[in-house]
Order: sequence, then C-alpha cells, then structure tokens
Amino acid sequence: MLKVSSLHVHYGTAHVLHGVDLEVGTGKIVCLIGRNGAGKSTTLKTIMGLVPATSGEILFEEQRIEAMAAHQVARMGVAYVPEDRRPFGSLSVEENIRVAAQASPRSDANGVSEALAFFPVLEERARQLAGSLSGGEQQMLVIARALVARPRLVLLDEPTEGLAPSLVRSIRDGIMKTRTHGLSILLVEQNLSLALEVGDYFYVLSRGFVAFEGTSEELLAREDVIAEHLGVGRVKEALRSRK
Amino acid sequence: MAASPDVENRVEDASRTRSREVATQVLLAGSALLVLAVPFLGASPFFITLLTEALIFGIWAMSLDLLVGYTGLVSFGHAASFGFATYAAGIFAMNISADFFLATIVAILTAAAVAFLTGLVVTRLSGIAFAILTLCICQVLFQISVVWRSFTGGLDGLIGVPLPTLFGREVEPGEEFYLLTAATLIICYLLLRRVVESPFGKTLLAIRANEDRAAAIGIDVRRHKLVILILSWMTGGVAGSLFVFLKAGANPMTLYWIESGNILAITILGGIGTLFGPIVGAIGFIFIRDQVTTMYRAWQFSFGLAFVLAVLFMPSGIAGIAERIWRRLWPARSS
Repeated sequence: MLKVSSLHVHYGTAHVLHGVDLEVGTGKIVCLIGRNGAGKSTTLKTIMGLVPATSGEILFEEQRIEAMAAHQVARMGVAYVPEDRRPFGSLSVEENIRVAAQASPRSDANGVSEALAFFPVLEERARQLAGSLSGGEQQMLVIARALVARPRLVLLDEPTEGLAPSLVRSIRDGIMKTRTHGLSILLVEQNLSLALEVGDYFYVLSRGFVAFEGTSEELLAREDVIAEHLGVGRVKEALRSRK
Repeated sequence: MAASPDVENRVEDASRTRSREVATQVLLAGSALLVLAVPFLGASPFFITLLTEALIFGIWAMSLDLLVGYTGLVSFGHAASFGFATYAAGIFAMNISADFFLATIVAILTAAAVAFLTGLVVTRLSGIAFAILTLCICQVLFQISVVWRSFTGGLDGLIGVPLPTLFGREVEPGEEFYLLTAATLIICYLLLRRVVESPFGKTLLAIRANEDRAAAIGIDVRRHKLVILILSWMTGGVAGSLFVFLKAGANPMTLYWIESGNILAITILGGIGTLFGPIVGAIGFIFIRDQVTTMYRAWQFSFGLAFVLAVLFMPSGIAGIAERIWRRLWPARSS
C-alpha cells in the first residue's frame, strides 16, 4: 500500500535521508525506530508532503505522491499525527474533529461521533476547548482527528513520548483498535517495548540510512543492531517486555 | 467511574453558557439600537459626521480582523482594499451613476478582483513575508493612483463626487448618511459573524493555529486563504464606498502605508478575533485623533504611545478586557 524507494531529502545543504527504502503492507503496523536525528520524523513528513523530496519515489496505492501537496496526500487517504501533538487550541474537542471531517472527502455524518468514541475520555470532553486538555488527552484528540478522515494509512510520530504509563496504555489500546479497522500504520516510536508489542515489521534508521529491517524475532536476535542503533539499555528492556 | 459529578458540572456549564450567550445577544442588540438612535438623541452635526467616519473605519477594521484575527495573516497593506474601492466607487459615481447600491457593488467587485490577483501571490506566504508583500502591493497601487493623473486625478485625487442616491432619492449628508452607514455596519457585522461561526470560519482558526497541521488533515490552506482575503477586501470595499461619499472625494493618501498601519493598530487595539472589538477600536481612534489633533501637532505620538501601552498591558485589546468583565458578570462555573 505504501512503498518508498531510494528517498533522498535535504534541509538546505544538509543531506538528511540517504536513499531510504521501506514498505507498509495493508493492515500492517510498521515501526520506524532509531536514535534522535536518524531521520524518522523527516521520513514521515516527506511521505506527507510537508518536506520536499530531493529524489526518490513514494507510491501510495500504486500512485506516485512525492510531488503532491500535503492536503492532496491527506485526501488520498494518508493521515499524519505530528510529534508536537498540538490540537487547534482555540477550537473545542468536537470542533477540532469536525474541521478535519469537513476537509475529508471520505468522512460522513457518523465520522465525528465514531472518532470521539475511539477514546472515551474525549466523548466526555467534547465541548471543552482543546487547549485546556492534558497532554495525553491532546494526543488522543490528535489521533482521533486523524482517524475521522477515514484514512487507509496513518503516520504516527512518537505518540507516547513523555506520557505517563497509564496514558501510554490508552494510546496503545487505541493503536491496537485500529487493527480491527484494517488500517495500516507507520509508527515512529522511541519506546522499544511498546513498538515490539504492536509492530508487525521493523525498520531501524540510522543517520538517514536503513540499518536493519525485519520482524520482531529477527530484531531481537540482533543484539548488535539494538546496541549500536538503539542503545544498550534497550536490549534488556526489550527482552523483559517479551516475557 | 467518577464521571458523574463532572457530568453534572457540565450540564450547569451549558445552562450558564447559554445565559451568557443570551446576555451577549441582548448587549449586541442594545448597541445596535443605540448606534441607530444617535441622530435622535440631539447629537451635534459635527459629532454625527465624526461618528459616521468612525463607523466606516469600523467596517474596514472588521474586514482586517478576518485576516489578522481569524486566519493569522497580518496584512500591512490593508489600505489597498479601502483606497482602491474609494476610487472605484468614486469614478463610477462621477461618470455613470451615484446610486449607492450600484457604486458599492462596483467597489466590492473591484476589490474582489484586485484581492484575487494579490491573493495568487500572497497566499503562498504567511508571517513577516505576508506582511511585507502586502505592504509592497499596497505601495504599488498608491504609486499608480498618484501617477495615472487622467484617471485618478493624481495627488489631487477625485474631486466632486456627487451625493449618493438610494432608490432614486438623494441621501442627505449628516443624519441620513449616518443612518445609511450605521445600517451598513450592522449588516456587515451580522454577515461576518455568520462567516466566522460557520464551519469555514472554524477551518480558518485551524489554519491560524498551524498551517502545516491544517494541511496534514486535508485542508487546502491556500484556497482558504484566498477566499478569506477576497472576502476581507470586499468588506473593505464597502467601507471604501461609504468613505468616498462621506468625503465627496478620493485621495491617494487613503492608499498610503500609514493608513495600513493605522487600521492595523485600530484592529489590534480593539481586540483581534472578535469582530466587535475593531469597531470599538475605530470609534476610539477617530475620536481620540479628533481631540488630540486640535491640541498639538505631534498627535501621532500620543496614539503611538497608547498603542504601545495597550499591547503591553492588554494584549487582547479593548474587547479582551470587556470580555473578561463580561465573563465575571456571567460566570461559567459556580464557585
């Protein structure tokens, strides 16, 4: 459904992505992991059309999208949840979702209430201003806002960063729920144990290259990769989460 | 779950919010009646003329609020919308017909056309770049109005614009023209209120919050910016049409960048994102200017000082302070 081939991206003169190849199959959760500055967020932004690709090809459902503007990519069925997890603060929770629903050709009358139902706490706070929500609630709202467009692919950038464990669990449950909806997800995640829990396939990015790709078993078998590209402490953490 | 007391609270919230909304409607209706009643309260002709000018500036400031307050586009060339329309309406009135509706429609359409062309360029931008480019375009229009003497009268401007007619009858200067202006202001306010409260208006707020995020959920940011720019200029065009009939002439100085600065200051001082605030700001500006220009020549200094103090101590403008008092009178929460 999504196929990225030899993608190069520059920020000014800085060469950030050096020929990234990756693939996301229908209904799969694919995780993009790696250290800070490896180019994970840039990969998502480039797929979305927010950062221009220097060269390379991005195919979404057999169509080339690398030259499209962000709103066109969104209308094709790709949703993006940025890292900064900021809802539109001066709109209410419901209006945030409504604005996204209007912009989407695929959303319908039930879309708004369905999206709110994804995270129960949002239903309770529907009329509250989004700016007054807690960080975790804002994250849920931003994910719900992305889902209202009925996307076929969701690009999630570090949804659990800095959240309390109980909220991490709510977000994880939300991600797992999307599986039953047949959605594909490309997830950037620093929390390795969470990634291993939800992910079907993994790409490890390092300095703009794909340093490793494989399933969770293959990844766990490569302690060298984890140690070099993700940090030593992560090995134990990852293994612990398996038990 | 511990949700039940919370739910109760929200129900209370809703009823209190509703009572505040009703109170706001009453306040607005009261203000509208007061504005319409001014000529019947024994106001002097001078006061009425001054207030007419203030209300025209109020329409113009509301039009800028659409850009600055609701979309986050700080235009530093908004004199263009107004000045260009004064010429369009003035030239039409002098040569073809002084019918107020026709002249205003000409002004609106001309403003829309220029806004469309301007928008093709400026909607790619935001922030400082948007401000500077709108300033440049406005200065270009200013230069054209000065240089193209045969059409615009050069620095002398248009002289001898006739009195407007309404349904074939001449509108007397003074009280009659004031009522025409006040009615136009109220209609503009009600129409724009509907725009900003519509789904389209909410989308503008999303764009104001963050253009990239808005685009990422599928909003065509450029198209929305273009539409609101055109709508804003059309409203500015209404103000321009009234102004040319009030002054019985047009003058290139209405296109000068200082006017863009004044209207921006008025809008910010009144309170952006409120529509109502800019009207209050305009009334304040016109009357303060009238008072201080007769006192000393460096009157702009006092307005500048007032502006700096206002930005420092009441960043949400006069309307922001009024709203805070209003919320205290009609609290949303019992405590």
